[in-house]
Amino acid sequence: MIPRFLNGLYWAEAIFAVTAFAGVALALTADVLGRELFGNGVYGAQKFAVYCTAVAGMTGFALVVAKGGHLRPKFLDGLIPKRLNGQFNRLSDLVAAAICIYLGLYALQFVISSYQLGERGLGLNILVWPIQSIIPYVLFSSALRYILFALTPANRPVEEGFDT
Amino acid sequence: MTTVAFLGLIALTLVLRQNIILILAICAAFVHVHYATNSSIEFLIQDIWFAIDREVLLSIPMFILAGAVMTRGAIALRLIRVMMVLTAPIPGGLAVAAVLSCAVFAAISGSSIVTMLAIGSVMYPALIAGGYSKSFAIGVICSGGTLGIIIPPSIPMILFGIMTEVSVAKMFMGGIGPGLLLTLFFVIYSYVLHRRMPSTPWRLAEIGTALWQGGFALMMPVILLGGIYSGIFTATESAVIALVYALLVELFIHRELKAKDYFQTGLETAKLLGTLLPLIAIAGSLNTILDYEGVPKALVAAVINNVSDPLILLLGMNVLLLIVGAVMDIGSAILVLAPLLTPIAVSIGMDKVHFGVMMIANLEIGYLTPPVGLNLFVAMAAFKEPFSLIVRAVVPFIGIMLVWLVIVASWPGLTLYFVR
Repeated sequence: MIPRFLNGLYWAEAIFAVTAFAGVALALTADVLGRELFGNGVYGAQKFAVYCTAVAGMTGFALVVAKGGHLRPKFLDGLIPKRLNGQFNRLSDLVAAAICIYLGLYALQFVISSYQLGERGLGLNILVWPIQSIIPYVLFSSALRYILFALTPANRPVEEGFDT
Repeated sequence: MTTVAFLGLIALTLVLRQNIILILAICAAFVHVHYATNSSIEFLIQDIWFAIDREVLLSIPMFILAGAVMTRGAIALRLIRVMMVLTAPIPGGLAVAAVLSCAVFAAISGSSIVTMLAIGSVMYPALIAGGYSKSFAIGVICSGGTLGIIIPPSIPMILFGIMTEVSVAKMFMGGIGPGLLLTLFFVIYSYVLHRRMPSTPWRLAEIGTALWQGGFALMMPVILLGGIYSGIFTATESAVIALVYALLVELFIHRELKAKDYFQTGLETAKLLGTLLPLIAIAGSLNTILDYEGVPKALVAAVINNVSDPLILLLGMNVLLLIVGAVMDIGSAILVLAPLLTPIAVSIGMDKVHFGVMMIANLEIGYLTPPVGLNLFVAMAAFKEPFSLIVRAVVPFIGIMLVWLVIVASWPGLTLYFVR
């Protein structure tokens, strides 16, 4: 059940991120080609690309959490006896989840305030709260993953990230 | 007391095995709450949004994407073939070809690891089969890979430009001279070390075929750098052109990528951006606070009051950056230190572009030095060689790079020639 959920979440976010990336590439290509060939860029293309980059990049954070790929300083790992590694990794995941939830709640507050104020983008006159929502979403999605890793260590990914 | 709590918090997050982004986020939250005037965590989130809502960031995903397309496709392989046939008459030609392939690939990719893997996956087995020692082969691939961040385009240069408001195009131009000099140093070392090895004469048919097959790949750096240098493209535009060109070449000429590969390329790029973008956003917030609180100005004043000799200051900054490069990844180092050190460098009369390139040159050496040395770890995984062998293998190259660093730091003209 949990592996299927984690896998489904990963692929849903992966498709979302790649689609956003395609949006960045298409918008910028159209804008640059329009400017170079016809002397006029595409209205709002740069801003659209910025928003797509924000969405793709922030979603990328959650995807990297899913694969254990974030850079992590490991030089203090030796302080904990190896036999306690399993339990300590679970504690570490719970702390990471707590940090993500803590920041996620503030991010949610930020989005709600933007929604209430009706904030619009500069350069592309659209409401920005749907795009800003990616920040709390990614933090909560990562928190959920960390909690599931702590509850079921078998689903915890092997760290891909290199020592920093 | 607050400082003790801050240091304690950093130590705690390290012991609790948190990743670098969460550590930086918690530190930034602490700074907002306890150090900054009239600030709170809401401002951190607001700063994160403002940091990612900027057009200047657009060149980063585009260069990463273009590099990923080229690495998955046949561009690297074709570049290597061209270099191999062109250097065949030189004793130790394969070693020289490895360096030149890294340099040319560096001119289309902005990453050290991508360059090392793209060239190394083909060149490392070829060098071993060609009778070169394992130690030299792995050393030249690891060190050649670092050319990826000094020869433009370069992701660290974009990061430096963003954090210090220096034109990214100027940073790219600044990297050309030092990049070519380091390539020359590596070529000379490779030649001198293998000058007694047998060579083969040029075969025109082979050269013709290699150039025909690799011509489109070779045109890439010409279009990219030519466009930026002539002022036709901005950095973002050149990144778009690089991507479009790479896609056209792979789709219609090389035709070796499948639809699945394109999805994987997009996914890998999203993940890479997922490690960079949050770092940029959080570092951007810290930078805003530091600026608001006047920290860079105070730091400059304190340093100038205590160290009057610019030479000692320059030496001190280089030593600091070499140490930082050895213990921190280059992205985090630039995002945190560039806004603090640039004003100090400017105060002793250094050009911002020269300082930026010098900073990247210092941190570039960090790719080869433990404990962080990303190229060492990636090479260990990719080429299945023991860590001790890889560390020993890069030592002569680190020596060469230190000589090069002295030249880069003391000769501004090398960096600024193409900028002016």
